Amino acid sequence: MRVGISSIGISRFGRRLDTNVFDLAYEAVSEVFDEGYISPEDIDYIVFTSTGFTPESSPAGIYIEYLGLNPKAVYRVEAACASGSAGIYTAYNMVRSGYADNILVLGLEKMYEFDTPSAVEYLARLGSYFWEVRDYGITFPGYYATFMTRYMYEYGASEEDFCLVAVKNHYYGARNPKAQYQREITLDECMESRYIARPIKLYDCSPITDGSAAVVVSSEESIKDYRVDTPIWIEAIGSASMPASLSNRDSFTSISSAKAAAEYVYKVAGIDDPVKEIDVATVHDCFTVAEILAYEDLGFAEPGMGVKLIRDGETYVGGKIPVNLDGGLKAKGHPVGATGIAMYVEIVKQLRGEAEKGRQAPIERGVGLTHNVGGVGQYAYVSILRR
Amino acid sequence: MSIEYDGRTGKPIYIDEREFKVRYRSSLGFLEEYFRGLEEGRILAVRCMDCGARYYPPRSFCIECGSRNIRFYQLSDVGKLVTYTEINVKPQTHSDYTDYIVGVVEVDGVKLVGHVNAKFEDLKPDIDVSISVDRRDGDTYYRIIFKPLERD
Repeated sequence: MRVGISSIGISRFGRRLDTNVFDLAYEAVSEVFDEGYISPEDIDYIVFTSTGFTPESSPAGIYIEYLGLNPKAVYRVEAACASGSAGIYTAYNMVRSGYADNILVLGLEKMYEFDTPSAVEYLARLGSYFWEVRDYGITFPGYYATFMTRYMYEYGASEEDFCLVAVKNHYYGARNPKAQYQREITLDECMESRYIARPIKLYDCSPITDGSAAVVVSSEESIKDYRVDTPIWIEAIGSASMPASLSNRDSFTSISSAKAAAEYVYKVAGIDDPVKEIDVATVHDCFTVAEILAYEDLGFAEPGMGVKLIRDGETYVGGKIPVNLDGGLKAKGHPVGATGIAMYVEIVKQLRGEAEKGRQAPIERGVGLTHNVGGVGQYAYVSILRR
Repeated sequence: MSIEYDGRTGKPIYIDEREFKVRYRSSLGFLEEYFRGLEEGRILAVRCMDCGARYYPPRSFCIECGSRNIRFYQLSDVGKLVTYTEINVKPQTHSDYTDYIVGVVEVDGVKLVGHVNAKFEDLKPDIDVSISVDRRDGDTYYRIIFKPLERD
């Protein structure tokens, strides 16, 4: 039995001081129901994803109450920045097993409710607190900077190479009305920005973001019953893990869990040449180096050649494999627990042909990919969606 | 008044600044020997006495062969810098320190995480560093320190 996405919704991302956290959740959910396919009473189950930028220790129940979705059952799924994909994965498996027909997966994070030092602390603790954060004060950008330092050394890449990713993602953010930064930047602006975790600069980083995103994962039968115009099918979801701690990492130039997840989905979906067979991808560019690593881990480029892909502009529309046409985490924003779902929303829009002018990929094969990494690789999810 | 208006957007914000202080009390169990060693200036890793696998951070059982026959051993005081970063924007719990460098160093078959005492510009991956233990001024916490070795 096939499993697909019947409805999508996403809030405007950004520094959303204009709305409270409860209405921020409603922004995504109301779009889902406004699509006109699924009504609240059709929902069998709700999966809520967030990493916990809320004062509540157990947010799921509180938000579902406000949304008027009681007495539907709900629980929270957490896998750091991959929480959204992990939530979709549990929904996918519930539908696939025949247990449910329609599951609402809702991701939410309102990170601006924390001041910056608290947010930096909270995000750092997604790493190995006991051995690395507590006594050495490494931060989340710091974790990724250890990859960037080693990558530059091994492959002769420069800080400019990574800034090219920021320039591309801002170019597309400027064309996405839901993006946090709807503004193009120059290479110089990125290069002149201050260091956050050297060699990572401010413009290499995804921002702190308020945002929510939601999808309904539905059975094939349900998608037919509701006459969904352009069903988008989940062809495969792959996931794997790797050590979070720096000490136990084999490589500082690749995220092995993402690589393993990609190999799995390519096998299940019968994809031999991802660059030729995939029309559009969203990858986890929490930092610009992460997008370069993603190119290589997903087989879009050979090891060490990811920087060449961005130098040659091959990940823009018109290039070999367009990546992050919504602005990516970098410019669209990264509300951590909602990000994996926002990636699904984007690929569904792309495959339906509903992306805004200037950021729609040509859809030839009808195949899209999402790549969502949690922590520094301890959670990795890769999905293949097909029209 | 707990309602403030944001300086940039003028939007209303409810300020909730109640103190919620956590004092973690982490049981050490098997790790007592490691932290005792650190206090005495020795950095310990573990070795599986059955298959020879080495681990840092220390663990009480071997994930290569399943053995629980694990012993601590002291690491040498010279290693190789694998990678590093300078933390410029700090987490709340480290915000009182000036910028510091976190490094990963390979030594005797394991990798350590510690602070690098050097100028960022003077570092390069794969250089040799000395390994020691110290406490920062005013700290009660011990930490591992790496310093680039002088070259002849």
